Amino acid sequence: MADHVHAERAAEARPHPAPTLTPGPEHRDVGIKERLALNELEYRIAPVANRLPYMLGGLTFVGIITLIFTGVLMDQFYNPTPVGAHDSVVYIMSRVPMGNWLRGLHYWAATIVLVSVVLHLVYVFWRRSYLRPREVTWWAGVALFLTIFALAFTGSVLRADQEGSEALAHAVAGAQLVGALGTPLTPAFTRSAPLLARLHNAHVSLLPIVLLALVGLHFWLIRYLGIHAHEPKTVPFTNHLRRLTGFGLLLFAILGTLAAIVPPGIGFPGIEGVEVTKPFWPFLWIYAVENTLGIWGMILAPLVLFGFLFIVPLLDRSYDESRRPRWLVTLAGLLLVLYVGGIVYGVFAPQMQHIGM
Amino acid sequence: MRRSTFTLALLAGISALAYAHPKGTIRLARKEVSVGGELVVTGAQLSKNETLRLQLRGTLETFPLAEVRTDASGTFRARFALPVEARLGNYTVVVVAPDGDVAAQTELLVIAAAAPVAADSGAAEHPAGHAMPNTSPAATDIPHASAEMMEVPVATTGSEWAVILTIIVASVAGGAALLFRALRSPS
Repeated sequence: MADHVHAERAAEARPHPAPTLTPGPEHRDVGIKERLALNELEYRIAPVANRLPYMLGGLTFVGIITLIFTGVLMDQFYNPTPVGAHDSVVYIMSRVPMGNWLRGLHYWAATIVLVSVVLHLVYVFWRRSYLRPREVTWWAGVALFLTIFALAFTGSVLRADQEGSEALAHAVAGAQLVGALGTPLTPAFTRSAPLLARLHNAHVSLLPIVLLALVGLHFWLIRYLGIHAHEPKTVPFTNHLRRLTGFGLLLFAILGTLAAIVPPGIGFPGIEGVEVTKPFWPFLWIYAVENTLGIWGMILAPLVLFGFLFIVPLLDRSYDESRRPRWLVTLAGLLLVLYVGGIVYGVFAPQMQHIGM
Repeated sequence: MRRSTFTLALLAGISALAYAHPKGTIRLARKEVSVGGELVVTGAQLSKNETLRLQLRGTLETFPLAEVRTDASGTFRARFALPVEARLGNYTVVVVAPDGDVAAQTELLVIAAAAPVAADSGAAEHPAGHAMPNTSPAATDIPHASAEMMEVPVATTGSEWAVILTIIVASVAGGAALLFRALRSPS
Protein backbone atom coordinates (compact mmCIF):
# COMPACT_ATOMS: atom_id res chain seq x y z
CA MET A 1 0.00 0.00 0.00
CA ALA A 2 2.78 2.35 1.03
CA ASP A 3 4.66 1.43 -2.13
CA HIS A 4 1.61 2.15 -4.18
CA VAL A 5 1.20 5.63 -2.64
CA HIS A 6 4.91 6.23 -3.05
CA ALA A 7 4.70 5.27 -6.72
CA GLU A 8 1.71 7.61 -7.22
CA ARG A 9 3.57 10.52 -5.60
CA ALA A 10 6.62 9.80 -7.70
CA ALA A 11 4.46 9.84 -10.79
CA GLU A 12 2.99 13.21 -9.73
CA ALA A 13 6.46 14.61 -9.12
CA ARG A 14 7.64 13.68 -12.60
CA PRO A 15 7.26 16.50 -15.10
CA HIS A 16 4.17 16.07 -17.20
CA PRO A 17 4.91 15.25 -20.82
CA ALA A 18 4.03 17.99 -23.25
CA PRO A 19 0.51 17.46 -24.62
CA THR A 20 0.64 15.90 -28.03
CA LEU A 21 -2.29 17.63 -29.62
CA THR A 22 -2.80 17.51 -33.29
CA PRO A 23 -3.48 20.89 -34.82
CA GLY A 24 -7.16 21.63 -35.38
CA PRO A 25 -9.87 23.97 -34.16
CA GLU A 26 -11.07 21.64 -31.40
CA HIS A 27 -7.62 21.12 -29.96
CA ARG A 28 -6.87 24.79 -30.23
CA ASP A 29 -10.04 25.39 -28.17
CA VAL A 30 -8.80 22.91 -25.55
CA GLY A 31 -5.43 24.67 -25.50
CA ILE A 32 -6.99 28.11 -24.94
CA LYS A 33 -9.26 26.72 -22.20
CA GLU A 34 -6.25 25.13 -20.52
CA ARG A 35 -4.06 28.19 -20.75
CA LEU A 36 -6.72 30.63 -19.52
CA ALA A 37 -8.04 28.15 -16.91
CA LEU A 38 -11.49 28.49 -18.44
CA ASN A 39 -12.33 24.98 -17.27
CA GLU A 40 -12.78 26.55 -13.85
CA LEU A 41 -15.94 28.18 -15.22
CA GLU A 42 -17.56 24.79 -15.75
CA TYR A 43 -18.80 24.64 -12.16
CA ARG A 44 -22.46 23.84 -11.64
CA ILE A 45 -25.18 26.31 -10.74
CA ALA A 46 -28.92 26.08 -10.14
CA PRO A 47 -30.97 26.03 -13.40
CA VAL A 48 -33.15 28.87 -12.10
CA ALA A 49 -30.16 31.21 -12.57
CA ASN A 50 -30.82 31.08 -16.31
CA ARG A 51 -34.14 32.85 -15.92
CA LEU A 52 -34.15 36.51 -16.92
CA PRO A 53 -34.99 37.96 -13.46
CA TYR A 54 -31.86 36.28 -12.12
CA MET A 55 -29.81 37.89 -14.86
CA LEU A 56 -30.66 41.48 -13.90
CA GLY A 57 -27.41 41.79 -11.94
CA GLY A 58 -25.40 40.43 -14.86
CA LEU A 59 -27.16 42.76 -17.30
CA THR A 60 -26.38 45.65 -14.98
CA PHE A 61 -22.74 44.62 -15.29
CA VAL A 62 -23.03 44.65 -19.10
CA GLY A 63 -24.27 48.23 -18.79
CA ILE A 64 -21.35 49.08 -16.50
CA ILE A 65 -18.87 47.69 -19.06
CA THR A 66 -20.54 49.80 -21.76
CA LEU A 67 -20.25 52.84 -19.50
CA ILE A 68 -16.55 52.21 -18.90
CA PHE A 69 -15.73 51.82 -22.61
CA THR A 70 -17.74 54.83 -23.77
CA GLY A 71 -16.53 56.87 -20.80
CA VAL A 72 -12.86 56.17 -21.55
CA LEU A 73 -13.36 57.16 -25.19
CA MET A 74 -15.21 60.38 -24.36
CA ASP A 75 -12.72 61.33 -21.68
CA GLN A 76 -10.02 61.67 -24.35
CA PHE A 77 -11.88 64.77 -25.55
CA TYR A 78 -13.30 66.12 -22.29
CA ASN A 79 -11.80 69.21 -20.70
CA PRO A 80 -12.49 69.18 -16.94
CA THR A 81 -12.09 72.91 -16.35
CA PRO A 82 -15.00 75.22 -15.57
CA VAL A 83 -14.37 77.33 -18.68
CA GLY A 84 -13.64 74.45 -21.05
CA ALA A 85 -16.00 71.67 -19.95
CA HIS A 86 -19.17 72.71 -21.76
CA ASP A 87 -17.38 73.47 -25.02
CA SER A 88 -15.63 70.12 -24.91
CA VAL A 89 -18.96 68.30 -24.52
CA VAL A 90 -20.31 70.23 -27.52
CA TYR A 91 -17.08 69.30 -29.32
CA ILE A 92 -17.66 65.59 -28.53
CA MET A 93 -21.20 65.86 -29.87
CA SER A 94 -20.41 67.80 -33.02
CA ARG A 95 -16.82 67.14 -34.05
CA VAL A 96 -15.65 63.77 -32.70
CA PRO A 97 -16.39 60.95 -35.17
CA MET A 98 -19.40 59.05 -33.80
CA GLY A 99 -19.05 61.22 -30.69
CA ASN A 100 -22.76 61.99 -30.42
CA TRP A 101 -23.56 58.28 -30.64
CA LEU A 102 -20.93 57.40 -28.04
CA ARG A 103 -22.34 60.01 -25.69
CA GLY A 104 -25.84 58.66 -26.33
CA LEU A 105 -24.62 55.15 -25.60
CA HIS A 106 -23.13 56.41 -22.32
CA TYR A 107 -26.36 58.17 -21.38
CA TRP A 108 -28.64 55.24 -22.22
CA ALA A 109 -26.30 52.74 -20.55
CA ALA A 110 -26.42 54.85 -17.39
CA THR A 111 -30.22 54.95 -17.63
CA ILE A 112 -30.53 51.19 -18.10
CA VAL A 113 -28.04 50.50 -15.28
CA LEU A 114 -30.06 52.67 -12.93
CA VAL A 115 -33.26 50.83 -13.90
CA SER A 116 -31.84 47.31 -13.84
CA VAL A 117 -30.03 47.80 -10.54
CA VAL A 118 -33.31 48.85 -8.88
CA LEU A 119 -35.18 45.89 -10.42
CA HIS A 120 -32.37 43.56 -9.32
CA LEU A 121 -32.53 44.95 -5.79
CA VAL A 122 -36.30 44.62 -5.60
CA TYR A 123 -36.18 41.03 -6.87
CA VAL A 124 -33.40 40.05 -4.47
CA PHE A 125 -35.36 41.62 -1.61
CA TRP A 126 -38.50 39.77 -2.69
CA ARG A 127 -36.57 36.48 -2.80
CA ARG A 128 -35.03 37.26 0.63
CA SER A 129 -31.61 36.49 -0.77
CA TYR A 130 -30.07 38.68 1.93
CA LEU A 131 -30.65 36.03 4.57
CA ARG A 132 -27.73 34.29 6.23
CA PRO A 133 -25.07 33.66 4.92
CA ARG A 134 -25.55 36.25 2.15
CA GLU A 135 -25.72 39.44 4.22
CA VAL A 136 -22.39 40.73 2.89
CA THR A 137 -23.47 39.97 -0.70
CA TRP A 138 -26.50 42.20 -0.06
CA TRP A 139 -24.43 44.96 1.56
CA ALA A 140 -21.96 44.91 -1.34
CA GLY A 141 -24.95 45.23 -3.69
CA VAL A 142 -26.41 48.17 -1.78
CA ALA A 143 -22.98 49.86 -1.73
CA LEU A 144 -22.84 49.27 -5.50
CA PHE A 145 -26.26 50.90 -5.87
CA LEU A 146 -25.00 53.91 -3.90
CA THR A 147 -21.80 54.10 -5.97
CA ILE A 148 -23.80 53.97 -9.20
CA PHE A 149 -25.90 56.87 -7.90
CA ALA A 150 -22.74 58.81 -7.09
CA LEU A 151 -21.42 58.12 -10.58
CA ALA A 152 -24.68 59.28 -12.16
CA PHE A 153 -24.58 62.44 -10.07
CA THR A 154 -20.97 63.34 -10.88
CA GLY A 155 -21.63 62.51 -14.53
CA SER A 156 -24.53 64.95 -14.70
CA VAL A 157 -22.30 67.68 -13.20
CA LEU A 158 -19.60 67.16 -15.85
CA ARG A 159 -21.91 68.40 -18.63
CA ALA A 160 -21.39 71.90 -17.20
CA ASP A 161 -24.69 73.06 -18.67
CA GLN A 162 -27.39 74.72 -16.57
CA GLU A 163 -28.52 71.37 -15.13
CA GLY A 164 -24.93 70.41 -14.35
CA SER A 165 -24.24 73.79 -12.80
CA GLU A 166 -27.28 73.44 -10.52
CA ALA A 167 -26.26 69.89 -9.58
CA LEU A 168 -22.84 71.22 -8.65
CA ALA A 169 -24.42 73.97 -6.55
CA HIS A 170 -26.52 71.30 -4.80
CA ALA A 171 -23.41 69.25 -4.08
CA VAL A 172 -21.77 72.27 -2.48
CA ALA A 173 -24.91 73.18 -0.51
CA GLY A 174 -25.32 69.59 0.69
CA ALA A 175 -21.66 69.39 1.64
CA GLN A 176 -21.96 72.56 3.67
CA LEU A 177 -24.96 71.12 5.51
CA VAL A 178 -23.01 68.12 6.77
CA GLY A 179 -20.09 70.21 8.01
CA ALA A 180 -16.58 68.76 8.08
CA LEU A 181 -17.71 65.55 6.38
CA GLY A 182 -18.61 67.47 3.26
CA THR A 183 -15.47 69.60 3.06
CA PRO A 184 -14.01 67.72 0.04
CA LEU A 185 -17.12 68.68 -1.92
CA THR A 186 -16.69 72.41 -1.36
CA PRO A 187 -14.54 74.81 -3.39
CA ALA A 188 -12.85 75.85 -0.15
CA PHE A 189 -11.18 72.42 0.13
CA THR A 190 -8.33 73.58 -2.11
CA ARG A 191 -7.51 76.54 -4.31
CA SER A 192 -5.27 74.46 -6.55
CA ALA A 193 -8.02 72.58 -8.41
CA PRO A 194 -11.59 73.59 -9.24
CA LEU A 195 -14.40 71.48 -7.79
CA LEU A 196 -15.47 70.43 -11.29
CA ALA A 197 -12.01 68.93 -11.91
CA ARG A 198 -12.16 67.06 -8.61
CA LEU A 199 -15.63 65.71 -9.38
CA HIS A 200 -14.32 64.65 -12.78
CA ASN A 201 -11.52 62.86 -10.99
CA ALA A 202 -14.07 61.13 -8.77
CA HIS A 203 -16.17 60.18 -11.81
CA VAL A 204 -13.34 58.66 -13.84
CA SER A 205 -11.05 57.19 -11.20
CA LEU A 206 -12.12 57.13 -7.56
CA LEU A 207 -15.71 55.95 -8.00
CA PRO A 208 -14.93 53.40 -10.77
CA ILE A 209 -12.23 51.88 -8.55
CA VAL A 210 -14.74 51.59 -5.69
CA LEU A 211 -17.31 50.23 -8.13
CA LEU A 212 -15.02 47.54 -9.54
CA ALA A 213 -13.83 46.54 -6.07
CA LEU A 214 -17.45 46.12 -4.96
CA VAL A 215 -18.34 44.23 -8.15
CA GLY A 216 -15.38 41.93 -7.44
CA LEU A 217 -16.55 41.32 -3.88
CA HIS A 218 -20.15 40.80 -5.03
CA PHE A 219 -19.10 38.28 -7.71
CA TRP A 220 -16.71 36.49 -5.36
CA LEU A 221 -19.45 35.97 -2.78
CA ILE A 222 -21.96 34.82 -5.40
CA ARG A 223 -19.38 32.37 -6.76
CA TYR A 224 -18.72 30.79 -3.38
CA LEU A 225 -22.04 31.22 -1.59
CA GLY A 226 -24.15 30.70 -4.70
CA ILE A 227 -27.48 32.30 -5.41
CA HIS A 228 -30.45 31.79 -3.13
CA ALA A 229 -32.11 28.74 -4.71
CA HIS A 230 -33.42 25.42 -3.39
CA GLU A 231 -32.81 23.23 -6.40
CA PRO A 232 -29.77 21.09 -7.16
CA LYS A 233 -26.89 22.65 -9.07
CA THR A 234 -26.97 20.92 -12.42
CA VAL A 235 -26.24 23.53 -15.07
CA PRO A 236 -22.68 24.51 -16.01
CA PHE A 237 -21.92 28.16 -15.34
CA THR A 238 -20.62 28.50 -18.92
CA ASN A 239 -24.16 27.93 -20.16
CA HIS A 240 -25.35 30.77 -17.92
CA LEU A 241 -22.48 32.93 -19.15
CA ARG A 242 -23.43 32.21 -22.76
CA ARG A 243 -27.05 33.24 -22.15
CA LEU A 244 -25.99 36.31 -20.23
CA THR A 245 -23.60 37.38 -23.00
CA GLY A 246 -26.38 36.76 -25.52
CA PHE A 247 -28.86 38.92 -23.61
CA GLY A 248 -26.08 41.43 -22.96
CA LEU A 249 -25.37 41.82 -26.67
CA LEU A 250 -29.07 42.26 -27.38
CA LEU A 251 -29.20 44.88 -24.63
CA PHE A 252 -26.19 46.61 -26.17
CA ALA A 253 -27.98 46.64 -29.54
CA ILE A 254 -31.01 48.27 -27.89
CA LEU A 255 -28.77 50.87 -26.24
CA GLY A 256 -27.02 51.53 -29.55
CA THR A 257 -30.35 51.98 -31.31
CA LEU A 258 -31.63 54.34 -28.63
CA ALA A 259 -28.38 56.31 -28.78
CA ALA A 260 -28.79 56.67 -32.54
CA ILE A 261 -32.48 57.56 -32.52
CA VAL A 262 -32.83 59.51 -29.25
CA PRO A 263 -29.42 61.01 -28.41
CA PRO A 264 -29.31 63.16 -25.27
CA GLY A 265 -29.04 66.90 -25.68
CA ILE A 266 -27.10 69.46 -23.71
CA GLY A 267 -28.33 72.68 -22.14
CA PHE A 268 -26.76 76.09 -22.45
CA PRO A 269 -23.64 76.85 -20.41
CA GLY A 270 -24.49 76.98 -16.72
CA ILE A 271 -25.16 80.21 -14.90
CA GLU A 272 -24.43 80.07 -11.20
CA GLY A 273 -26.81 81.22 -8.53
CA VAL A 274 -30.11 80.31 -10.19
CA GLU A 275 -32.24 77.16 -10.31
CA VAL A 276 -34.32 76.78 -13.44
CA THR A 277 -33.89 73.08 -14.27
CA LYS A 278 -34.77 69.72 -12.78
CA PRO A 279 -32.14 67.05 -12.19
CA PHE A 280 -31.38 63.88 -14.17
CA TRP A 281 -34.46 61.63 -13.73
CA PRO A 282 -32.89 59.17 -11.20
CA PHE A 283 -32.63 62.09 -8.77
CA LEU A 284 -36.18 63.34 -9.20
CA TRP A 285 -37.33 61.52 -6.02
CA ILE A 286 -34.79 63.57 -4.08
CA TYR A 287 -35.96 66.68 -5.92
CA ALA A 288 -39.52 65.85 -4.85
CA VAL A 289 -38.46 65.69 -1.19
CA GLU A 290 -36.50 68.95 -1.62
CA ASN A 291 -39.69 70.62 -2.87
CA THR A 292 -41.18 69.83 0.54
CA LEU A 293 -38.27 69.98 2.98
CA GLY A 294 -35.91 72.32 1.21
CA ILE A 295 -32.22 71.59 0.72
CA TRP A 296 -32.19 69.20 3.73
CA GLY A 297 -34.26 66.87 1.56
CA MET A 298 -31.18 65.98 -0.45
CA ILE A 299 -29.53 64.67 2.71
CA LEU A 300 -32.54 63.07 4.40
CA ALA A 301 -34.12 61.27 1.41
CA PRO A 302 -31.02 59.23 0.45
CA LEU A 303 -30.25 58.66 4.13
CA VAL A 304 -33.66 57.06 4.69
CA LEU A 305 -33.60 54.91 1.52
CA PHE A 306 -30.01 53.69 1.70
CA GLY A 307 -30.14 53.44 5.49
CA PHE A 308 -33.15 51.16 5.22
CA LEU A 309 -31.50 49.04 2.53
CA PHE A 310 -28.35 48.62 4.61
CA ILE A 311 -30.20 47.41 7.69
CA VAL A 312 -32.55 45.01 5.88
CA PRO A 313 -30.48 41.89 6.79
CA LEU A 314 -30.49 43.03 10.42
CA LEU A 315 -34.24 43.63 10.46
CA ASP A 316 -35.09 40.24 8.99
CA ARG A 317 -33.15 37.58 10.85
CA SER A 318 -35.77 34.87 10.67
CA TYR A 319 -34.34 31.53 9.57
CA ASP A 320 -37.77 30.28 8.62
CA GLU A 321 -37.95 31.25 4.97
CA SER A 322 -41.67 30.61 4.77
CA ARG A 323 -42.38 33.30 7.34
CA ARG A 324 -41.67 36.71 5.86
CA PRO A 325 -42.07 39.63 8.29
CA ARG A 326 -45.08 41.49 6.96
CA TRP A 327 -44.15 44.79 8.51
CA LEU A 328 -40.83 44.71 6.65
CA VAL A 329 -42.52 44.01 3.33
CA THR A 330 -45.02 46.81 4.03
CA LEU A 331 -42.22 49.24 4.88
CA ALA A 332 -40.21 48.26 1.80
CA GLY A 333 -43.32 48.54 -0.38
CA LEU A 334 -44.03 51.99 1.03
CA LEU A 335 -40.49 53.13 0.28
CA LEU A 336 -40.70 51.74 -3.25
CA VAL A 337 -43.98 53.56 -3.85
CA LEU A 338 -42.45 56.78 -2.48
CA TYR A 339 -39.35 56.27 -4.66
CA VAL A 340 -41.27 55.67 -7.90
CA GLY A 341 -43.98 58.16 -6.93
CA GLY A 342 -41.30 60.74 -6.13
CA ILE A 343 -39.80 60.34 -9.60
CA VAL A 344 -43.22 60.67 -11.25
CA TYR A 345 -44.06 63.68 -9.05
CA GLY A 346 -40.69 65.20 -9.90
CA VAL A 347 -41.48 65.04 -13.61
CA PHE A 348 -44.68 67.04 -13.22
CA ALA A 349 -43.84 69.15 -10.14
CA PRO A 350 -43.27 72.87 -10.57
CA GLN A 351 -39.67 73.94 -10.76
CA MET A 352 -38.52 75.40 -7.45
CA GLN A 353 -35.51 77.07 -5.89
CA HIS A 354 -34.08 74.80 -3.16
CA ILE A 355 -30.77 76.33 -2.17
CA GLY A 356 -31.36 78.90 0.52
CA MET A 357 -34.93 77.65 0.98
CA MET B 1 27.74 51.59 -45.77
CA ARG B 2 26.62 53.38 -48.89
CA ARG B 3 22.99 52.39 -48.18
CA SER B 4 23.20 53.70 -44.60
CA THR B 5 24.61 57.00 -45.76
CA PHE B 6 21.82 57.32 -48.32
CA THR B 7 19.16 56.55 -45.66
CA LEU B 8 20.62 59.10 -43.26
CA ALA B 9 20.76 61.71 -46.00
CA LEU B 10 17.16 60.98 -46.91
CA LEU B 11 16.02 61.28 -43.30
CA ALA B 12 17.93 64.51 -42.90
CA GLY B 13 16.27 65.83 -46.03
CA ILE B 14 12.81 64.90 -44.77
CA SER B 15 13.58 66.57 -41.45
CA ALA B 16 14.73 69.69 -43.24
CA LEU B 17 11.49 69.73 -45.23
CA ALA B 18 9.41 69.22 -42.10
CA TYR B 19 11.04 72.23 -40.43
CA ALA B 20 11.26 74.51 -43.42
CA HIS B 21 10.75 77.51 -41.17
CA PRO B 22 12.17 77.95 -37.68
CA LYS B 23 10.04 77.03 -34.68
CA GLY B 24 9.66 80.23 -32.74
CA THR B 25 8.13 81.28 -29.48
CA ILE B 26 5.40 83.73 -28.56
CA ARG B 27 4.57 85.25 -25.24
CA LEU B 28 1.46 86.97 -23.98
CA ALA B 29 1.59 89.93 -21.64
CA ARG B 30 -1.17 88.19 -19.65
CA LYS B 31 -2.22 84.55 -19.70
CA GLU B 32 -5.78 85.51 -18.78
CA VAL B 33 -7.71 88.12 -20.69
CA SER B 34 -11.30 89.12 -20.12
CA VAL B 35 -13.87 88.85 -22.89
CA GLY B 36 -13.28 91.59 -25.45
CA GLY B 37 -10.08 92.60 -23.67
CA GLU B 38 -6.73 93.56 -25.10
CA LEU B 39 -4.06 91.08 -26.05
CA VAL B 40 -0.36 91.92 -26.24
CA VAL B 41 1.72 89.34 -28.07
CA THR B 42 5.49 89.23 -28.58
CA GLY B 43 7.18 86.72 -30.84
CA ALA B 44 10.81 85.66 -31.22
CA GLN B 45 12.98 83.17 -33.08
CA LEU B 46 10.65 83.29 -36.06
CA SER B 47 11.41 83.63 -39.78
CA LYS B 48 12.99 86.98 -40.54
CA ASN B 49 11.10 89.67 -42.45
CA GLU B 50 8.05 87.52 -43.00
CA THR B 51 4.32 88.13 -42.73
CA LEU B 52 2.67 85.74 -40.30
CA ARG B 53 -0.94 85.22 -39.34
CA LEU B 54 -2.13 85.09 -35.74
CA GLN B 55 -5.14 82.95 -34.87
CA LEU B 56 -7.14 82.33 -31.71
CA ARG B 57 -8.04 78.63 -31.70
CA GLY B 58 -10.72 77.48 -29.28
CA THR B 59 -12.38 74.11 -28.78
CA LEU B 60 -15.18 74.91 -31.17
CA GLU B 61 -14.09 77.92 -33.19
CA THR B 62 -11.03 79.60 -34.67
CA PHE B 63 -10.83 83.39 -34.88
CA PRO B 64 -8.34 85.27 -37.09
CA LEU B 65 -6.56 87.83 -34.92
CA ALA B 66 -4.13 89.82 -37.04
CA GLU B 67 -1.30 89.71 -39.52
CA VAL B 68 2.12 90.65 -38.20
CA ARG B 69 5.48 91.17 -39.88
CA THR B 70 8.65 90.03 -38.24
CA ASP B 71 11.74 92.21 -38.26
CA ALA B 72 15.27 91.34 -39.35
CA SER B 73 15.87 89.43 -36.11
CA GLY B 74 12.69 87.35 -36.40
CA THR B 75 10.73 89.11 -33.66
CA PHE B 76 7.46 91.05 -33.53
CA ARG B 77 5.19 92.75 -31.03
CA ALA B 78 1.48 93.26 -31.57
CA ARG B 79 -1.41 94.65 -29.59
CA PHE B 80 -5.06 94.08 -30.50
CA ALA B 81 -8.50 93.47 -29.04
CA LEU B 82 -9.91 89.97 -28.66
CA PRO B 83 -12.83 89.21 -30.97
CA VAL B 84 -16.06 89.91 -29.12
CA GLU B 85 -17.41 86.57 -30.36
CA ALA B 86 -14.77 84.67 -28.38
CA ARG B 87 -16.56 83.12 -25.39
CA LEU B 88 -15.06 82.20 -22.06
CA GLY B 89 -12.72 79.26 -22.27
CA ASN B 90 -9.31 77.88 -23.04
CA TYR B 91 -7.72 78.99 -26.28
CA THR B 92 -4.45 78.64 -28.11
CA VAL B 93 -2.90 81.69 -29.74
CA VAL B 94 -1.22 80.37 -32.86
CA VAL B 95 1.30 81.91 -35.25
CA VAL B 96 0.71 80.51 -38.73
CA ALA B 97 3.55 80.62 -41.27
CA PRO B 98 2.83 81.42 -44.94
CA ASP B 99 2.93 77.69 -45.76
CA GLY B 100 0.15 77.02 -43.23
CA ASP B 101 2.34 75.42 -40.59
CA VAL B 102 2.18 76.45 -36.96
CA ALA B 103 5.34 78.43 -36.26
CA ALA B 104 4.62 79.09 -32.58
CA GLN B 105 1.79 78.80 -30.09
CA THR B 106 0.84 79.53 -26.51
CA GLU B 107 -2.18 79.07 -24.24
CA LEU B 108 -4.69 81.77 -23.33
CA LEU B 109 -7.62 81.76 -20.96
CA VAL B 110 -10.54 84.04 -21.77
CA ILE B 111 -12.32 84.96 -18.56
CA ALA B 112 -15.52 86.82 -17.78
CA ALA B 113 -15.44 90.57 -17.96
CA ALA B 114 -15.83 92.30 -14.62
CA ALA B 115 -19.30 93.50 -15.50
CA PRO B 116 -22.45 93.18 -13.40
CA VAL B 117 -24.11 89.87 -14.16
CA ALA B 118 -27.85 89.54 -13.79
CA ALA B 119 -27.53 86.20 -12.07
CA ASP B 120 -30.50 86.85 -9.84
CA SER B 121 -32.92 86.80 -12.74
CA GLY B 122 -34.84 83.59 -12.37
CA ALA B 123 -36.82 81.48 -14.80
CA ALA B 124 -40.08 83.14 -13.89
CA GLU B 125 -38.81 86.45 -15.19
CA HIS B 126 -36.98 84.98 -18.18
CA PRO B 127 -38.77 81.79 -19.10
CA ALA B 128 -37.28 81.67 -22.57
CA GLY B 129 -34.01 83.38 -21.79
CA HIS B 130 -30.76 81.81 -22.88
CA ALA B 131 -27.38 81.72 -21.29
CA MET B 132 -26.00 81.81 -24.82
CA PRO B 133 -28.39 82.13 -27.75
CA ASN B 134 -26.21 80.00 -30.00
CA THR B 135 -22.77 78.44 -30.01
CA SER B 136 -21.13 81.78 -30.65
CA PRO B 137 -23.19 84.50 -29.06
CA ALA B 138 -21.96 87.99 -28.63
CA ALA B 139 -19.86 88.04 -25.51
CA THR B 140 -21.45 91.26 -24.43
CA ASP B 141 -24.86 89.54 -24.01
CA ILE B 142 -26.05 89.45 -20.44
CA PRO B 143 -26.35 85.74 -19.66
CA HIS B 144 -29.67 84.33 -18.50
CA ALA B 145 -30.11 80.83 -17.15
CA SER B 146 -32.31 78.51 -19.17
CA ALA B 147 -33.66 75.00 -18.90
CA GLU B 148 -33.81 74.71 -22.69
CA MET B 149 -31.54 72.48 -24.74
CA MET B 150 -29.00 73.85 -27.19
CA GLU B 151 -29.24 73.08 -30.88
CA VAL B 152 -25.89 71.45 -31.49
CA PRO B 153 -25.06 70.91 -35.17
CA VAL B 154 -24.38 67.19 -35.18
CA ALA B 155 -23.24 65.96 -38.57
CA THR B 156 -22.94 62.18 -38.56
CA THR B 157 -21.47 61.11 -41.90
CA GLY B 158 -22.68 58.19 -43.98
CA SER B 159 -19.65 56.10 -43.10
CA GLU B 160 -20.22 56.78 -39.39
CA TRP B 161 -23.82 55.64 -39.72
CA ALA B 162 -22.56 52.53 -41.51
CA VAL B 163 -20.20 51.72 -38.62
CA ILE B 164 -22.95 52.33 -36.05
CA LEU B 165 -25.37 50.14 -37.99
CA THR B 166 -22.74 47.40 -38.33
CA ILE B 167 -22.07 47.43 -34.58
CA ILE B 168 -25.80 47.19 -33.81
CA VAL B 169 -26.44 44.42 -36.35
CA ALA B 170 -23.35 42.50 -35.20
CA SER B 171 -24.55 42.76 -31.58
CA VAL B 172 -27.99 41.42 -32.51
CA ALA B 173 -26.49 38.59 -34.58
CA GLY B 174 -23.94 37.68 -31.90
CA GLY B 175 -26.52 37.82 -29.13
CA ALA B 176 -29.04 35.73 -31.05
CA ALA B 177 -26.38 33.15 -31.96
CA LEU B 178 -25.26 32.79 -28.34
CA LEU B 179 -28.83 32.46 -27.07
CA PHE B 180 -29.65 29.92 -29.76
CA ARG B 181 -26.57 27.89 -28.82
CA ALA B 182 -27.36 28.15 -25.11
CA LEU B 183 -30.95 27.01 -25.65
CA ARG B 184 -29.80 24.02 -27.69
CA SER B 185 -27.31 22.84 -25.08
CA PRO B 186 -28.74 20.70 -22.25
CA SER B 187 -29.52 22.65 -19.09
